[in-house]
Parts: sequence; structure tokens; C-alpha cells
Amino acid sequence: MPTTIPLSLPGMDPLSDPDVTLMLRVRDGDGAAFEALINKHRKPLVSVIARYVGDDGDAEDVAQDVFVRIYRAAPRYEPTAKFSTWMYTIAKRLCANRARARSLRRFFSLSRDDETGESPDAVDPPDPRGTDPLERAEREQLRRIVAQAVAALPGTLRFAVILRRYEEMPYEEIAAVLNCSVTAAKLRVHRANALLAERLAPYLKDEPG
Amino acid sequence: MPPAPLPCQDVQSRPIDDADPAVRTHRHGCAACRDAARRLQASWDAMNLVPDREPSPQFTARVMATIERTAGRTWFGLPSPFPGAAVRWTVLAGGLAAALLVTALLFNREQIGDPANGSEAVAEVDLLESQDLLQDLEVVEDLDLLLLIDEG
Repeated sequence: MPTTIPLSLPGMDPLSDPDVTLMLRVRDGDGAAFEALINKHRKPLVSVIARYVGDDGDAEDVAQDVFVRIYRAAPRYEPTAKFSTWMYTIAKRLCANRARARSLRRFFSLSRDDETGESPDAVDPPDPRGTDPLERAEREQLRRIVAQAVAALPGTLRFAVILRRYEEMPYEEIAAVLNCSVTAAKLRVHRANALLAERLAPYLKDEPG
Repeated sequence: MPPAPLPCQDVQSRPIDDADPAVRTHRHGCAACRDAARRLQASWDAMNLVPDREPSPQFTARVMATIERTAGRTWFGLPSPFPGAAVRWTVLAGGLAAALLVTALLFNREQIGDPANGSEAVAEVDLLESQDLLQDLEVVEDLDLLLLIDEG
């Protein structure tokens, strides 16, 4: 973990981020501040990672690892960017490491459960708003197809579109997380969306706009 | 002077949520770009079907337990008197330096002493024999002999 985080957002004072203030307290040994950070960010972080890895159980493990690394880096923490930018940068690296390890396992055929996408057991409770069972089943099937299509996107495109679509992260911050220009961040989001449009076309109803 | 209109290729490489008014205006007036945007919007909306994941209620407790369990551990699983990875690396570097020093001393003929003097020296020779180091020392002795001949 670098001593100084090489991330910055133009025109942004990191100290204006309340999470940075909390992180500075963590640096000074305040455990309660760290718990507050976890409680605030655990849901979006687990959601982002779950969409990235397409697997619930692993997502929580990776998210825990992110927080453990943040805590260990706390004594050397210097605020240079928003806390979330730093957190998602760590998450992106850990997700990439995990993907590499998974590819290796698959290559050496040590594991047969590495299909991209969700575990068949990871089923959400039925949507109470839908009354027609057939409609609900179709919706659930489409949800799985979309989740698998997102999880099957190339890594850098995937992270960009997840941060933008689900976290509504500004392109400047996505660029900082992915260590690329704002234009490149926009292009990645667009390419991811275009790939999804291509892959999901057979499943989406064509409704002329 | 109004800005030049954007070419279709440029508009179709922009993300669907691009806030640039010129892109929106172009899409409004261009059938091809509007159609491309409609397809992008459909998959963008479909992504909404994948809901947020709720972490388990024990999530925070598990993170804190992991931190507590691994804090101040050495590689051998023993509690470390030195907090922080930087200090542990320093200790490791110091240990390596000490090991190198000991190795250098083992190779130093002056530290070995005269093999003819007592059981301690014999034990040292035994040690060197067992580690295949004696052969290397013979080379050093030969060099010393050459130096003595030169001085003589």
C-alpha cells in the first residue's frame, strides 16, 4: 500500500469529504470512526463487488478484505482524494487479483465451479409487486441474464459501468479510480453499455422510443 | 457564432448519460443516433434489474474480528513486539544482514583458528566438512601459501 495515495480530483479539497475526516480519526487510532466508515460504505461496496464478481459469497469476502487493507494502511494515510475514490481503487485491485486467481484455477482445472455469473442458489425473494407468476419468473430470468452479462464484461469496462450506473459516480472520480483520463472513463462506460446492448438485445423487448 | 454540429460518429461514442447539450440536441434531430441511443438506453435501464446486495448483519463484526486476529502477528503466528509492517520489514532486513555477516565470518580463515590446536578446532573442521566448505578453504590456504612464498 503506498504511503501517499496517488489519487486526486481536480478542484476538490479532500478535507471537505466527511469520510476523510473519519479516516484521519482512524489514523489517530479511533476504532469507532472506522466502524462508522464500514457501516456507511459496506452496502455500496458489497453491491459493486457482487456485480463485478457475479457471486455473493465472494463479494463479501473481497469487501471485508478491502476494509482490512484500509485499516492496515491507516497509519500512513494522507488525504489526497475522496475516501470513496481510494476505497474503490483498492476494491478494483482486489477484484482484479481475484479474477486472475480464478482464471489460473480455471486454467489448471482445479475448480469446476467458476462459471461466470451467479450461483444458482443466490436467488432473491420474489418481488411482491409482481402478481403474475409467469411475469415474475420472466423478470427473475432476465435479472439473472443481465447480472451474468455485466459480470462477463471485460474488467476495466465492467468496473467503470458499475460505478457509473449503480453508484452514479462522477466521471472525474471514475477516472481517478481507474487511473485514466475522463474521456477514457466515458469511453469505457459507453463501450460497456454498447456490449451489453448487443448481448442483451435478444432478451429485451424492442420498444420504439 | 454557434458551435459546429457534432458528427454522428462522435455522438455515438458518447455514454448514454452524457450531459453535453450538443449531444442531446443531435440525438433529438438525427434518426440514426436516436435509434442507437434507444438501444443503449434499453440495456442501461435493464441494468436496473440487478439489485443492491445487502451485506450480512455480521459484516462489520467480521471485519473487526479479522483485524484483531491478524494485528501484530509475525509470519510464524507469534505476537510481534513491533507494530506495523514497516518495522517488521526492518527486522527482517536486519536478520538477513546478520545471517550474511555470520556466513562471511564462517568463510574467514582467521576465525577458524589453527586446526592443530585442541578439540574445538577439530569440531570446527568437522562442521566445515559436513557442510562441504572445507574444499573452499583449501583454496584460501593455497593462496596464503603463495603469499608466503612471495614474501620469502
